[in-house]
Formats: sequence, structure tokens, C-alpha cells
Amino acid sequence: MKENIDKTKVKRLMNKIIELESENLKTKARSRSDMSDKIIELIKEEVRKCY
Amino acid sequence: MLLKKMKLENFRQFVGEQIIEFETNDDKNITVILGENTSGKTTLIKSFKWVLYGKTDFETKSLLNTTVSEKLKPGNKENVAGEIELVHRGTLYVIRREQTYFRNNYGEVKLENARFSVQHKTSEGQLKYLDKSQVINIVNKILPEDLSEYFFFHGEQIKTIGENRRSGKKNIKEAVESLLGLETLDSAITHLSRGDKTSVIGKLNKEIDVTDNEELDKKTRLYEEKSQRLNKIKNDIEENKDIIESFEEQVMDINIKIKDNMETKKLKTEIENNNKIIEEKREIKEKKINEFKKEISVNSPMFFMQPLLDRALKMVDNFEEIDEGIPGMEAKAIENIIEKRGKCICGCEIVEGSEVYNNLKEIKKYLPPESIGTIVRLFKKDISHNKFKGENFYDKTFNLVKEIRTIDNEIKELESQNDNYSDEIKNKPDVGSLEKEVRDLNKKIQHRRKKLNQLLNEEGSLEKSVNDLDKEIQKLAAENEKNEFILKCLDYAKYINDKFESHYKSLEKEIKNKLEERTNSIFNKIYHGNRDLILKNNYEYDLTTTDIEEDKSLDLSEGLKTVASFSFIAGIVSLAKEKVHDTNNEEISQVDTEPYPLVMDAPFSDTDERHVQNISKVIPNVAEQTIMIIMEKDWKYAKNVLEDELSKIYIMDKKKETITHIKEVN
Repeated sequence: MKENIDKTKVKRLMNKIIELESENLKTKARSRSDMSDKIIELIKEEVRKCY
Repeated sequence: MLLKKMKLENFRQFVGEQIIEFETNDDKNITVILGENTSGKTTLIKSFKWVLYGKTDFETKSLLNTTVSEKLKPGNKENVAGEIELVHRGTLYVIRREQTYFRNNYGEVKLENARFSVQHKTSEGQLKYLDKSQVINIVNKILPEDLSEYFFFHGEQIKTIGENRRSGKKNIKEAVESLLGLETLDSAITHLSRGDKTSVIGKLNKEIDVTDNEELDKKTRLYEEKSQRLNKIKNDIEENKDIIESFEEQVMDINIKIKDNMETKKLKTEIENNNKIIEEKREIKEKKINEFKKEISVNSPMFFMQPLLDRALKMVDNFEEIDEGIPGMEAKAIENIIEKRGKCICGCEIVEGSEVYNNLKEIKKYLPPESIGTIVRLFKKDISHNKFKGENFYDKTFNLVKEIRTIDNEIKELESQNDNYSDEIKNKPDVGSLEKEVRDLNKKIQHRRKKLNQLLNEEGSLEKSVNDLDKEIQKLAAENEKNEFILKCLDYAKYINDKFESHYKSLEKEIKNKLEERTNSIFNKIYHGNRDLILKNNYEYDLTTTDIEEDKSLDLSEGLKTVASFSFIAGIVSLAKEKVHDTNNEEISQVDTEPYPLVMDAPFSDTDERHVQNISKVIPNVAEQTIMIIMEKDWKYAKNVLEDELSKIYIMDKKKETITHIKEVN
């Protein structure tokens, strides 16, 4: 599994998720399910780039 | 967030417009507001929360100043308002809350419009109102309500805020995690992996194409089923742990109450013993009263007849000399000898007119009933007997009354003792029922522990089978080209989740160590004893000591509680200013931190002079801005230490119960 992971992309992805979570903790704008969908969207977007 | 200005209008006792400006200067960051009891110190702290979150907990609901309210005429309106100016992440915000009150024609004062607005200073230097939809979010961004109590607190609150009680613990854990950046990671892990239906991994798993692969379909369904069960087990484990913890805390609380009320138990036993003695004494008293009544009814006539008996005895005294009767014999006996027997007891024949006959007739004259001498003698005997009874009557009844009175006094004394004991234990819990509660709770804890062990065993075996199934699904899914993309996404999600989890653990450890170190460093600067503050899991803290003498007095005084709590909060606030780095995870960016003020009402409550000075030495180094609302008697000790960092002093000038003005002291 790990050998398929691009370290640069994963770092970018992690920071995007942290930013998204940090924002949502302050605004509480998204529900739990919405947050999962948004993270899936970010992951898919990043994976698609190298796909 | 640093505070710039607070403006209050007709808020409770702060009549008219009252303004306090706070210094945000790095060197001089302390503002002191002096106020005596009931001048409005706690009200001022509460006004911050009202302006920011619209919440108050005053006993009387109306916020409008009483004097203003009383002067309000029917049909007229008055406003209560609060305005806070603050700087957050370099931007100036003006947050204002207003509440209108009006008097109706029935003379009642009613609430009317409430308004809440937030303005921010734009890059062009102009104040601009934020959109209504943004105002709540922005306040929560600046300072989430849940965390506000760590920055705006009053003296009584500080004693409990850091206590290792369950009710406060969750808040403390959340506050620490939020302030130090852990909450973000925890939330990300939740969204990535917690929950089979709502999590990223759960949702991505559902996207795997299982068509034309019966085995994969079967395994996926089984995986879902087992994952659901595993999630339920995990929730049940947490629930059981929480319940056990809650029961254990209840046991701890009750044991403290039992310990505190041992004297009550002793007094209660004392009351019960006294009641037994009272009962016995009442029985004895009853017996004595009956004895007294009997004595009165039987012997009182003899007592009252004493003078009469004396006189009668004197009168019949001479009769004794002429008494020639035969003791014990009555006239009827002689008649019987003469008329029925015809023979004397000596054997002589009794013939009428004979000497024997005549002698007997003579003797008969002196015998009862005719013999007055005998009657007198018997009468005298009776008198003597009754006189004796009469003479004893007084002593006997006197002693009985004395004994009854003594018993009465003893009963009264015991009853008064019981009244005093009852007053002492009034409103105090019954130790017996508390001990029963502890026994019941311990039984429940045992039951829950048994259940928890079962759940933990099941969790272990389920985790293994879910992991095995996951591997099998990956393998089977990879056979279908359509799943390549989704499996790659899953790889990323799982990789990131693992990274976040390990980052969380290592950061949590780092934060805990730093917080313990910081809290102890503050505590040791303040506390002049030999104790250490140990931070446990979930940010509970305990005070330990290696000093045997200190160990004997591990019951914490109110002052020590305040010092420990203050050190803990100061540790959090101080650490919140800094970034806590997880040196093992350079891949993940660190969450920004922001300075916060400490707004304290009576921070020195229950602490001694030395602690006041020590806390004062620590305060400037802890927070980037400190606002202290304190009494002059405490300020006397803190003043010398804080003078260099002091920017402004205000005084709460209480004109009367409903009117306080706030003035700056030059």
C-alpha cells in the first residue's frame, strides 16, 4: 500500500484536510457526513491527478 | 484575541454608560478593576459572556438597571447594551449586543427587540458590519463559547474548574485539545475512519464495484455487518467506561461526604442512645408517680389526721391503767363456757350462783365488747400504727416528688442535648444511607466491569476478522479494473488516517508533558509547600508529595485548591500562546495559536498573603493580557508585585445597591 502513495501529494492532502477541519471547528458549518464527502472529494481530486 | 474596550449601558447595577479601556501593550498588559463585595465584580465578568454569547445566569432575569426600570413610564423604552472592542488575528472587531425594555399600559416591564452586531475594521481602516449569517460564526471563531470559561472566570469557579471531576473533565480535555490544536486532528480522524456509514473509509468501501463477483459481494456484506457490530461494540465500550468512571466518581464524592459527616453519624448514635435512656427514665418516672398516687390515696388521711390522733391518744392514755381484761379474749368466749360447755377450762362445774359462775360473770364485764379498756387498748394500737404510717407519709412522698423531679430534669437535659445535636446535623446527609449508596454503586461497578471485559474480548476478535476481511476484499476488488481508482483513494485515506492517528498520539503525549511541566513550574512558583502536580490521562491532575508531614494532610484546603486550579489554567493559557511541535511529523502543518486574555474575578479568593503575591508574580508571564477584578484588601498585597506591568486601574464606585459607576483611577 505505502509504495503506491505519493509523499508530496499526501502531504498536500493532509494539509488541506487539516485546514478544512480547522475551519469547520470554528464555523461548525458542515455536518459529519458533509465533512466526509468533502474529504472524499479532496482525496479523489488528488488521486485523479496522478491517475 | 486581546480586549481593547468594554462599554456597558444600564446593564444591571452599571447605570448609564460605563467604559473600561484595556491595555494591550506587551510591557504593561494588566488592567485592575477594584471593587468591594456586591459592587458588581461578578456581574462585570458575566457581562462579557452576555455580549459575546447572549447568555446570563442572574437570579433576577431582567438586565435593565433597577433604578432605570422603576423610572420607566408606560409606553416608554430603555436599552441595555454591551459593546466589546477586541483584536483577533490582527483585525479589530466591535461586538455589540442590545436589548430593549418597555413598560406597557398595565405597568409591566417587557422585553422588546434584541440586536446583535459585529463590525470589523477593513484594510482601508473603516468599520464595516458583518453579514447577519456571519456574526455567530465569527464570535465562535474568535473564542468558542465552550472555551470562554477558561478565560473569563470568577473566584468560586476557579476552585472547581481544574478539579478532576467527570463533569468538568470532558470540558478540560476538549478545551486543551482545542487550544493546542489536537481537536483538529481528532476531528479529522473521526471523519476519516470512525463510523462505517459516515466515515470517508466507510463511504469509499461502499463505492467498490462488486458486480459479477459473488465472493466479493459476500465478503463486502460480511465486512459491513462486522464493521457495524465493531462500531457498536466500540461505542458500548466507551459508554461502559464512562458509566464506570461516573460511578467511581460518585463513590469518591459520597466517601468524601461520609468522611465529612462522621461526626454527624456519631451525633446520631448519641441521639439514639439518649432516646433509649429517656425512655427508661420515663418508665421509672411512671412507676414513681403511681407509687406517689398510692401513697396519697392510702396514707394521706393518716398524715392529715396526725394532730387528731395525738389528741385522741392523749385522751385515752389513762384508760390503760383500769384495764383488767384478758388479752385476746372476748365476752362471747365466757358465754360459751357458761352456757354451752357448763364446765370451766379448769374442769370445775359451772352452776348458776356458784363462786365459779360469779367469777366468770365478773371477768365477762372486762371483756369486749363491753370492756372499754380493751377497746381503748385496741384503739391505741390502731392509732400508733396509723400514726407511724402518717409520720412516714411525709418523708416518703417528699422523697418520691424529689426523685420524680430529678428524673424530669435528667430527661429535660437529655432532650435539650438531643435538640442541640439535631440542630448540628440538620440538613446533613444520613451517613447510613450514604454507606448503602456506596455499596450499591460498587455492585453496579462490578457488574459494568464484567460487561466491559466481555466487550473488550469481542472487540479484539472482531477487529481481527474485520482486518482479515478488508485484506481479502482489497485482493478480490483488485481483480476488477473498475475498482482500481477507488482502491487507490482508499489507500490514501487509510494512509492519511494512520498518519493522523500517530501524529495525534505523539502530539498528545508532547502536549501532556509540556502542560504538566508548565503547570508544575507555575505551581512551584506560587505554592510554598512540598507538592507536585501530576497530570493524568484525560488531563486530570493530582497533587502528590513525598513529604510525610504533608502527606498526612492531603485534604486540600480551599487556598491550595485555588492555587492548583490557577496553575493548571495558567499552564493551558500559557501553552496556548505557543505552538506545540510534533517533531516526528514534519509532514503535517501546525495549527496557528493566538494569544488570549485572562479575565479574572477574585482570583485570590481563599489564598493567603504569600500566595496572592506569588500568583501576582506569575500572572504577567502567563497571559498576554490580564484583567483582574479584585477587592482592595487583596490588591494591597498584589500591588507591589504587579506595579511594573500595570497599565490601568479602575474602581467600581458603588453608590447604592442598584447603582455602580466605574471610574479610572489616576
